[in-house]
Amino acid sequence: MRLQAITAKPVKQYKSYCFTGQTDPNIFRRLILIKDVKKYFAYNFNRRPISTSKEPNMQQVFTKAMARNIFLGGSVFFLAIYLALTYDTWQQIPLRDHADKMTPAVLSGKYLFDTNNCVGCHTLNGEGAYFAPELGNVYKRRGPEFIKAWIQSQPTGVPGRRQMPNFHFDQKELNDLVAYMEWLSHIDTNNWPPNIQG
Amino acid sequence: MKFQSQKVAIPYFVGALALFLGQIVFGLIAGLQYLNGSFLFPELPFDIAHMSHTNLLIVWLLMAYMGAAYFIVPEEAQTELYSPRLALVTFWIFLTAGALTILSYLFVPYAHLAAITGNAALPTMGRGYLEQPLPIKVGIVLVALSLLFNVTMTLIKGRKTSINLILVGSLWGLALLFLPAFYFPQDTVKASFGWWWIVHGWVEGDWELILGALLGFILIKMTGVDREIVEKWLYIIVAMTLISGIIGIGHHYYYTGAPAYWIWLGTIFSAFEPIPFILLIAFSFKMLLARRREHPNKAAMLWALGTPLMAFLGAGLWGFMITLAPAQYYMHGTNFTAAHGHLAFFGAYAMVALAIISYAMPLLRGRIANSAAAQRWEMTGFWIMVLSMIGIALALTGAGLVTVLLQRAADDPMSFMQVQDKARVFFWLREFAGLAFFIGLLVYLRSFFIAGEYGYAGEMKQALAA
Repeated sequence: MRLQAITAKPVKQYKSYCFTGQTDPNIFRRLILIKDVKKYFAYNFNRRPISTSKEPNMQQVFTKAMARNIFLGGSVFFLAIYLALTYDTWQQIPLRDHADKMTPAVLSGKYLFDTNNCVGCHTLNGEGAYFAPELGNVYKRRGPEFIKAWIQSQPTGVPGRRQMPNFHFDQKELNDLVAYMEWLSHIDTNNWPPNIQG
Repeated sequence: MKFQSQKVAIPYFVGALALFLGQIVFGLIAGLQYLNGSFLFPELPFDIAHMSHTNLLIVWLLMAYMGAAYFIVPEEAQTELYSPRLALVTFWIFLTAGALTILSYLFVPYAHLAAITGNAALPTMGRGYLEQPLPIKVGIVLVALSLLFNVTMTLIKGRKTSINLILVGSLWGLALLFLPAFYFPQDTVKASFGWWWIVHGWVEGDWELILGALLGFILIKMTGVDREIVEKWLYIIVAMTLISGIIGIGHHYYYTGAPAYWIWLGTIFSAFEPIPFILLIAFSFKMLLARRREHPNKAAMLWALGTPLMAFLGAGLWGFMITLAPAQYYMHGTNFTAAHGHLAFFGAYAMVALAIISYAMPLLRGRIANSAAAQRWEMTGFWIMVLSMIGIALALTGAGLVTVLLQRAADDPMSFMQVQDKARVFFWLREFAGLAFFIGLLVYLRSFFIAGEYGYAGEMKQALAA
C-alpha cells in the first residue's frame, strides 16, 4: 500500500470537505460541468473520510477476523458444554421419570396420545396448546374413572363451550391412556405445576 | 438485480405471501374458537386450526428464506445460481407438499393420517410444529438438501463474503437441526428435551443467524455502508446469539422433567439472550445514520429498521419476561408464552422475511423501487400489522396474567375452564387485534398491485411543490 503510494503517479483528486465542516472554496467552479458535479458527489459520498489521526482506530484494534473467531470459538465452546450436560441429563432422566415403569400399556397409551394430537389443544408439563387443561397432572386431579368417563362422553355439544372430539377409544385403549397419564403424574418436574389445577 | 437466475426468488416470495394469508385465516378461526368453542365443530376442531396456523407459519417463513437465499447468494457470490431449474422444481415440490399437508389435516382425521402414512414404523407425529406425517418430513429434508446443494455450489464457484458464509452456514444448520424430528423417544421427558433441539435451535439460534444475514445484506445494499463494518457487526451479533442461546436452551428444561441444575443454567444464560437483539438495534440504526445514499425504497428501509425493534420487543423483552425460573414457575404453559411466541415470530422472523421481500421484489420486477403510491400502501400495511400484532401480544399477556392470578398463584386456585371464562375479554381483544392484522395484511398485499415504479423527477416536483 505504501509502496504504491510512493510509486503511483499522483492522481489529482478533489479534497473532501464534506466531513470537515468547512466550505469547499472551489465549489462554484466545480458546478460548471455536470461531469464535475458527478465526480464531486462520487468522491464525497462514496468514500469514508480518511482518518488523519496517527492513533490506531477501532477498525484496526478489533478486526472482523477477531469477531469471527469469537463467534466460532464461542459456539464450539458452549456447544461442547451443552453436549456434556446433555449426556449427564440423559443418565438422570430415567431416574426422574421412573422409566422402568413404562409398561407396554403406558407406551400404547403414549402412542394414542401422540397420534390423536392431544397437545394440539392441551398442555403436557406446560408444553402444547393453551386451549384445554394441563394433562401432566390430570391423573392426580381427576382420577382414572373420571378421565375415562370424560373422554367417552365427548363432545358435550353445549353451544359455545369448547368442544373435544370423540376419538372412539375402546376399553383397552382408555385403560392404556389412563396408564400413561398415571405414569406422567409421577415425573419429577421440580414441583411444577404450583397447584393441582395445573 | 444483477443476475438472471435471481428471478427464481419470485415464486418463492409470492408463494410465501399466499401461505401467510392462509396462516392468518386459520389464526382468526382458532382465535374465534377461544370465544365460541362450538364454532366450526366438528368440521374443524381447534387442534386442526391451530396446527394449520403454526405449520403454515413455518412453511411460509422457510419459503421466504429460501427465496431470500436464491436472491442473495448469487448477488453476494457475484455469479449466476448453480441451477435455477432445480430451484424452480424444488419450489413446486415444496408448495405442493405444503398444500397437501394442510389439506390432509383438514380432511383426514389425525389418527387415521398417522395410520396410513407409516407412523407406527417410525413415530414422528404428535409434537408441536412437527405434526407433519412421515413422508412430508422426508420431503422437507429433500427440499432442504436441494436448496443446500444449489446455494453451496453457487457459493463455491463465486465470491465468499461473510454474509454469504453466515447465510449458507445457517441454512445448513437449519437443515441439520430438523433431523431430530425423526427421533421421537418413547420416554416423554427425553422426547420433550430433544424437541427443543429443533424448536429452540431454530428460533433462538439458527434463525437469528439467518435474520442477521438478511438484515446485513439489506443494510449494505440500502445504506452503502462499508461491507467490512457491517460484517464485523454481524459476527458480534451472531456470536452473542449462540454464546447466550446454546446453554440458554435450559429455560425450556425447568419444569419438564430434566435435572434441577438447568434452573440455574437456563436462568443465567437466557438472561443474556436479549443482548443480540439490542446489538441488532444498535447496528441497524448506526448503519442508517452512517448511510451514504438515500435509497428510494423507503418501505424496505421501514421494514429493515422495524425488524430489530420488534424482534427486541417480542423475542428480547417478552422472552425475558417469562425466561427466569421463578417467573416461569407461574407463567409456564400460559398465554404469556403465546404472547411471546406471536410477537417474536412476527417481529423477528416474519418481519425480516417481509423486509427482504420488500427490498427484492421491486428489483425482481425490474425497478429500483415501487412508486410512491405503492410504498404508501405498503407502509400503511406495515403500521397496521405491527400495531395490531402488539395488540395481540398485549391481549394474550392479559389472558396469561388472569391465569397466573386466578389459577397459578392463587390461594384458592380456580379450574382451567373457569379461568378461561374470566379471560374472555382478553380473547375478544386478541380477536379484534387479529382482524386488524388481517386488514393490515390485505393493505400490504394491495401494494403489489399498484403499477409503476419510483420516478425521481415526479417525486422531486412533488417535494418542491409541497
